[in-house]
Amino acid sequence: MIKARIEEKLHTAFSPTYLKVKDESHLHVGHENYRPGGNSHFSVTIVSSFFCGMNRIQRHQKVYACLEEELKSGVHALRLKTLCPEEVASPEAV
Amino acid sequence: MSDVFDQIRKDLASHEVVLYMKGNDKFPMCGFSAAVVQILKTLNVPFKFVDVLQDAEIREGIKTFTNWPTIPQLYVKGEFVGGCDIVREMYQMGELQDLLVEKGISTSA
Repeated sequence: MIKARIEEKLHTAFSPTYLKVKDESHLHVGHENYRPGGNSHFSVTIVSSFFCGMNRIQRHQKVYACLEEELKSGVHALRLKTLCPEEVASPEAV
Repeated sequence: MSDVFDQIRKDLASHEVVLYMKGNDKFPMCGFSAAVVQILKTLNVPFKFVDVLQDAEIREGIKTFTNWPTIPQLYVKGEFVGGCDIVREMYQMGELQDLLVEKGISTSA
């Protein structure tokens, strides 16, 4: 299960205080990289102190690097929201 | 790969705003590319687009050049700004407009 693998890798790499991974493949039906059964488009919301002091580009690059293998083997798109804990007013605000 | 990098550097040097995207500005072939085109059009920013679907070498080359594995990619004055999520977030917070002004690019916003 790709979603579980993504979650596990992100947990290991960033020890997030909040992590939500969603398979959004169904939103991309008909797209060139859509495949029946999903697992092609994901959204990731992650809060981790690892990102504090980094700009957005650096944060996304770290996540992409962590999931390099998945991006090369079928994951076509990641919608990313990467936050430092201090940027989150409350857990509901994520 | 160096020929591809030369081509990329040339495009970035000769245009203030460059968008590497799938499809063209009239018919984007991907929702993420379409979202960035829409933002640039809303801000009335003239831009050069490079359709990576027309050139497999550029499509792979730009990913290595930027160390960024996805398309679209937006550049302003030769500097990488981000992909769709970053551009959208910056636009919503007004940061993209500030960046364009700072770089001396006229917008309608």
